[in-house]
Amino acid sequence: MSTPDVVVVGAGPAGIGAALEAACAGASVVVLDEYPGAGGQYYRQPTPGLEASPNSPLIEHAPEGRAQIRDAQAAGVEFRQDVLVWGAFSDGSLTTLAAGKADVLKPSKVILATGGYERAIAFPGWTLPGVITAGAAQALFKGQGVLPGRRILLAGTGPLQVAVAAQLVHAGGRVVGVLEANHFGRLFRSGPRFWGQWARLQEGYRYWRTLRFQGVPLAFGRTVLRAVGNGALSRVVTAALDAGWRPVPGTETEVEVDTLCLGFGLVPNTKLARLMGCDLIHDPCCGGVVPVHNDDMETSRTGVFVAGEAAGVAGAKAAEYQGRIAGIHAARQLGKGMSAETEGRLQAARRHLRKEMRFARALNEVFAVKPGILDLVTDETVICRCEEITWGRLRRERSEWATTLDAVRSATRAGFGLCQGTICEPLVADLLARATEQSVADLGSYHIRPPLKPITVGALADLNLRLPPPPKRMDH
Amino acid sequence: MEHDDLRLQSYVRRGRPVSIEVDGEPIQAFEGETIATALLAAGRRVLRHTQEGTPRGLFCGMGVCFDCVVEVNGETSVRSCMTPVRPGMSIRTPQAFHGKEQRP
Repeated sequence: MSTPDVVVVGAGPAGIGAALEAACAGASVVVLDEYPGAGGQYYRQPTPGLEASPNSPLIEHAPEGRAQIRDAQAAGVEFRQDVLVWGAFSDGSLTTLAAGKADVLKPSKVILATGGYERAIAFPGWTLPGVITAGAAQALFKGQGVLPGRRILLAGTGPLQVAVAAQLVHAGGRVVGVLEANHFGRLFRSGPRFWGQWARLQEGYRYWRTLRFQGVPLAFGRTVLRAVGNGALSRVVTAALDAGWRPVPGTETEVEVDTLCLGFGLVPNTKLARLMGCDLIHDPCCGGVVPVHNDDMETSRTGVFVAGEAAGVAGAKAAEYQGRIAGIHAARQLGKGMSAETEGRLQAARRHLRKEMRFARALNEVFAVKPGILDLVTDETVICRCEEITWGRLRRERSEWATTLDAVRSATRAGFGLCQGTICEPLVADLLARATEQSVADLGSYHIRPPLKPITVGALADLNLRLPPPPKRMDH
Repeated sequence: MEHDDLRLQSYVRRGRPVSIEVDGEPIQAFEGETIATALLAAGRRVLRHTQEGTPRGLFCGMGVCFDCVVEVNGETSVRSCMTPVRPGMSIRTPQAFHGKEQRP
């Protein structure tokens, strides 16, 4: 396989933006993406074989995404789909898996646009079939044209919940309610922070109106206390929350549902950045641990860039501009993209990004998850879904000397399962920080080793190459 | 408005029908659907049982959590939310109890 100048990992808004700019500047660019189609979660396209009519609620951002993918392809970008990047090594090589075959790439520049995933909030019953993330609901609905269930409740925080609910209702789904954890008064008072975001406020109003017309109740200061069901979800118990998101005793009510969609914001997917040895910083406003990066989106490792949610949760538009900036600078390190035209595009991207980041900061602060929600966790609540480790066991089996997240993982096995700690890491960090009265930043993070996702020994055996050890991580 | 089927009736045109087999039972799916979608639409929310015997289904829906893993044509730990159905595919939903695998 010929080695491109620039490899972009992830074909969402950030990855497409990065690839487009790097290719326009004259670099050869390959985008590696784990999904069957480019677009990521935001620009998700209906699955091949499924035709969606242009007026359908499935479509949303898909046409915009398709146009951008076409632009990138016209500029010479090669999108390789169904490719998992599972390893990074000290000599700068990346290892991939496609159609059961492993391969090695050694590009001179790497742009990490690995996106984010839903923040896990644990409560009794959250492992029951029928309890899904809002992202899963969107994937089913936008990608597959299938409703997640027959009676749907959404619980969480932020405008995405209202958007998902409105889309489900539009498509004929039965949504029994939307629970926003924040109190209405608090959100109303933070209104001025979104001054100037008229298009977005209008979009929010449209969603709200859809719910209103369909009689879908939107409750503020309320969330799910526990999920109940024999074999699968059949009902949830909800409760009012105080300002710090602690459940208020005596406010419980029950609602019969077969589907609960959880949406408590996103966590940056930084595994590849961590494997590449990029320095990290804990920034609660960005969704947690993120790679340190400069204004050019370059990480602490020369020639390794990061863009989009993987650089800190800031939304699809910010992701695109960050991607563009990263793409131009990656090309410039190769001696390309020095023209006045490229400079103009760079300055435009920077200008747009500044505006987007102001909005993202306001949104992240207003809809930040508050620590009272950890009170939902009981001793019997599963924390590591893969290894079925409950909070009680985690607390008991964590030895006293295990003061970092990684040591706790070794002592309890929480985070050693198939997902490699992806889901439980932020949750364990928050719970341990509270239990040990430490800051989340002091607990560090799980040490990441290849493969990032399970691969077969057969695929490894095919890899007839000696790989150097992964880069050393510098912990501060 | 309630559907018998979770598949949207309006706004979309589906691809060719695809027959798969789940735990020995034939299930009708459509081209482009993931295994998780096909099972959900067929009324099967439980995709596997864990070592401790608790049921699990779709959770993240984007290939991150590995909660929806099933056995496909003999290959274990296949993410059903990421794997499209193919004609004649044989799927088993893992039923491990106390470390011993029980096949339905």
